[in-house]
Amino acid sequence: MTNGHARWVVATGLFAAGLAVVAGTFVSPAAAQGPVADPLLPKDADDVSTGYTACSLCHAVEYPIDVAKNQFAKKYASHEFVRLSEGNTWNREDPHSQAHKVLESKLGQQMKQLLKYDVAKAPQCLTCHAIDVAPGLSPEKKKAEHFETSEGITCNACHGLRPNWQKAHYDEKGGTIRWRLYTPEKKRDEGLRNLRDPHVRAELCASCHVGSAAAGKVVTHDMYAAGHPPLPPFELATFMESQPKHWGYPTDPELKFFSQAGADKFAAQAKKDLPENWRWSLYRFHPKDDEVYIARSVTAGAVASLKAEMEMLADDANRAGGKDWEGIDYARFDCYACHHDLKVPSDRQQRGYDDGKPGRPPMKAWLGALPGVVAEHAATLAPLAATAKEFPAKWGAVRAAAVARPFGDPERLKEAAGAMAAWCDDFLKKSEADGKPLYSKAESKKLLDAIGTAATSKRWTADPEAAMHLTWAYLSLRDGMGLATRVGDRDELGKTVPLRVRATPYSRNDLPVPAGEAIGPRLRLFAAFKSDDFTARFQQLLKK
Amino acid sequence: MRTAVSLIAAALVGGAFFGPTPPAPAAPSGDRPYAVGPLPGETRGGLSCAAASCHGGGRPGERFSEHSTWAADLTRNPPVPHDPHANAYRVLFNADSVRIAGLVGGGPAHTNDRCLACHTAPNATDGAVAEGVGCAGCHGPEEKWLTRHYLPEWKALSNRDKAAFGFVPTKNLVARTSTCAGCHVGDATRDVDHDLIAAGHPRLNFEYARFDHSEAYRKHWADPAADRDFEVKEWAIGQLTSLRAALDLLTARATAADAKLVGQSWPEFSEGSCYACHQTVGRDLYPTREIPGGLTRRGSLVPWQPWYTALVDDAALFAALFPGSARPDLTELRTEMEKRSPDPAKVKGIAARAVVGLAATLAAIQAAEDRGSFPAVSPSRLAGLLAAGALTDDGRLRDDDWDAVAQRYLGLAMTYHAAGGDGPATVGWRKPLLDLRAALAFPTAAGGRIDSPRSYHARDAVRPLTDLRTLTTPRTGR
Repeated sequence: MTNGHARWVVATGLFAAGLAVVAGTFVSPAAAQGPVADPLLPKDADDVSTGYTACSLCHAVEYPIDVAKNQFAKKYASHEFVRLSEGNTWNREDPHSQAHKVLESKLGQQMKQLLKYDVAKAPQCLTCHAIDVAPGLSPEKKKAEHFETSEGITCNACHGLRPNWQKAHYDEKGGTIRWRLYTPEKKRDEGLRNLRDPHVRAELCASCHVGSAAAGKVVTHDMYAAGHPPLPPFELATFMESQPKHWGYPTDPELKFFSQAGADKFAAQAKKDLPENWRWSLYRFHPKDDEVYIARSVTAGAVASLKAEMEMLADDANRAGGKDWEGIDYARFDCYACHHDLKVPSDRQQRGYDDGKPGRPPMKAWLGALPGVVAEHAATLAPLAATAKEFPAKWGAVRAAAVARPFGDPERLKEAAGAMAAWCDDFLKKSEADGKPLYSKAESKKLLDAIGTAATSKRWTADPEAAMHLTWAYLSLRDGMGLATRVGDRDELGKTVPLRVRATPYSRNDLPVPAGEAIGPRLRLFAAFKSDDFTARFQQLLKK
Repeated sequence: MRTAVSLIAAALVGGAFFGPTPPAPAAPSGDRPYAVGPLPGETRGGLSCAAASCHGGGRPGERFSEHSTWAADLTRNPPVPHDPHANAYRVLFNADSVRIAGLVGGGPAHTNDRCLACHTAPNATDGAVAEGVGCAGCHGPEEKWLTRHYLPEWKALSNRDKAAFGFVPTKNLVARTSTCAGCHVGDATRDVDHDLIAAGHPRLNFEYARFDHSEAYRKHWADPAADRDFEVKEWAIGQLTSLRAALDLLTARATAADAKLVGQSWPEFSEGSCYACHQTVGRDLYPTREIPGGLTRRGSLVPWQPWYTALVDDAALFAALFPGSARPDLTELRTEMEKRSPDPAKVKGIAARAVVGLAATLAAIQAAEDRGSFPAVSPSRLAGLLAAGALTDDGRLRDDDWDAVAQRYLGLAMTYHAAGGDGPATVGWRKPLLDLRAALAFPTAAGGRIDSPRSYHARDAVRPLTDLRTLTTPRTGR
């Protein structure tokens, strides 16, 4: 306890630095060999526990919780901290539980036939579709045995693989769960990933939903061509909303601990155990009440996605000229620059090609569209202003290198993408550095308006993916701010661009849902995108 | 020229005009088509052609009115050009051209040499530019032959003799289709690349027999009605000359890329199948696509030049009927070109060799045409080959690319017409041909045009092609 206490104090001061370690080491096995071992990385094969069963003993209670009958709720008010029904949600509705099973579906069989390797056993598939139980191992050394495939992406895959925290987090002393007294940093040191921090969450989710060069999580064009569903642009807040939620936002009234009143109640109860510097705000990501929680998810998600993609691009470019290197993978470029039906008149030709020559695949527009808006807005925020102003030049350099010749100039891309990734990292760190709120209601409204303006600007109208991504960010932030949109306006907009990652929520019996059924409606709507219709309806939304 | 006339006179006296080695003044290299490469002389436009007593008779569609047929109908306001070639220069001023030029850079289209290379006649003097692709664009710059071609002696000249004056003997199908291909496919000096297509220039997919029978085209000539195999010949020769032109263009592109010339894109996307990339993603997630049976290309890479190479084996069977022809083998070139980053140094070498081989083959065919010793080719036999070549033994498409199947359709449709349309030779062909056409059709769109086979599924082409194979297989043993 004394030891733990001492570490809090340090951890509190090094809040931002600690987060950087989390993010950095997770995606970079090289960093794991540094002097400070990543507390989230298992030490060896025995330092891993992935199973769902152990978690389900406590976290698979039917919701709503019957407090009188549930010992954790009754004794420790656990239902005010977490839902306790997480396991059921995951088990019954969450596609993550099917992550490996889908590799054996009809589509998986087809991919096996076309790719000429067994997708259910290939490390390049398992890095995302199973649990990497040797995350410190470099991708080229990974083999099937380094993956746990039996239950898909389980609780511990995201929350932390090490048994240490899994046991510690329900330890009781004198009627108090000791774990509750720990700061997020202390919990991370014990092996629990702080997924309540949008930055940590953004980088973790993006490591699969965008990709990670260091972890070998890269959907290649070969995989797409064999049938891998297209990865949609990653917008953290929208993905969270589309996911069957086994968590609550800090504003969730059920999770009383996240309100000041709930925290006060807890503090009063646990008074004798609390360290002197305890304050409830340590348990929330944003240190001030007046920050819009979702704003951080939107901005961190946008910048972390760009970072993940730039790391993959730099990694690919870095291998130029090496054995088996065939050129930058097509998957690094804007899918829809090539993959669209040819039409007259053409939106693209009307818009022009501000990346350079017509006919050269550019970077994915969505990657830079939202970060561009975020950076432009951040240029008015003191801690970020200097960094934010660098964005147009950095992103411009990547885009120029990408069209310097068909499929990019590797030398220039290596440098530009590396610099862009470093900028993202810098921006994310500086977003948290002084612990002050960035996205107050007023600032969030400015950001929201800027996203709305971008979504309806001519610049992105020929790019349905950027339009969809900006729409997702806009609606998430708007909802997060509690601003109502007329149902009719939203429905109308939904006729021109997909508003959700998945068409319908999943239910108990239909997992796994065939990929075509799950995302087919979104893709069909996406393919029929008409910029004028979209812009007109979006503008309707802006009027209110 | 004195030499030419006297030699011709000698030949006439000798009565051996169609001899095996006709004499010619300053004979062009014997192993390539007449119309390939720079032609001597320049053109001052078609005004003198349009004289009422020559080709401007004023009765479009009739003999001695060739220029009137080609030219704009001035009785209508605004004037309507009869032949799209007459409009070639004028389109450079329209809204599409202005936008295209703006997107690719290099100044206005009507002053950009790259555009003018095809939108006017080659070797056009300033005054002739505005005529578009006038007489000289196809018949050759008239400078050296204008004052001769109406003399009685002209008729006595061999095609090779005429070619030496810069005249293109367009009655010879090798010369004719090579001329068309120079712009409609491209060559070392005329390049519609992907940058230009992305800016809005239509894709070039030339197939001579299809163009020759275009409803939108008003011919100012008549092809020999008596020649029953004419359509088969023009189709097969068109395939080979188009391929030669495509390979000539590829050689130039690879050479420029190898020399790292600024502005040369490499890999050059217009060498690839358009619809391998230009298709909507996720149209069907399962099955994503049919697995073709013959070619072993990786599904994630772009098929190389399916339009001009799809039927090369079938056309080669035709070429094999001519002594001196060589069978084009594109295996090595295809392997290199279907890599993600083809090596331009390697490509330029292989492609250049293939061009030489094809030119020799075409020269052999050209010479046979000139001699009039053209082998008979049965449309039904060719239809059988085309249908059988589409499929593997286990009934899959050998190549499922839209371009490849569309070329087969055009070839089969040609054989149907060549065989006389509906009749005893083509019993049952009509329905599978229409089904195949429907499978390949582009959807229509209100207020615009879809230039993609959005609803194309290769599997829909299997049944009609299988039926056509059955219908065209020669029956044996009865």
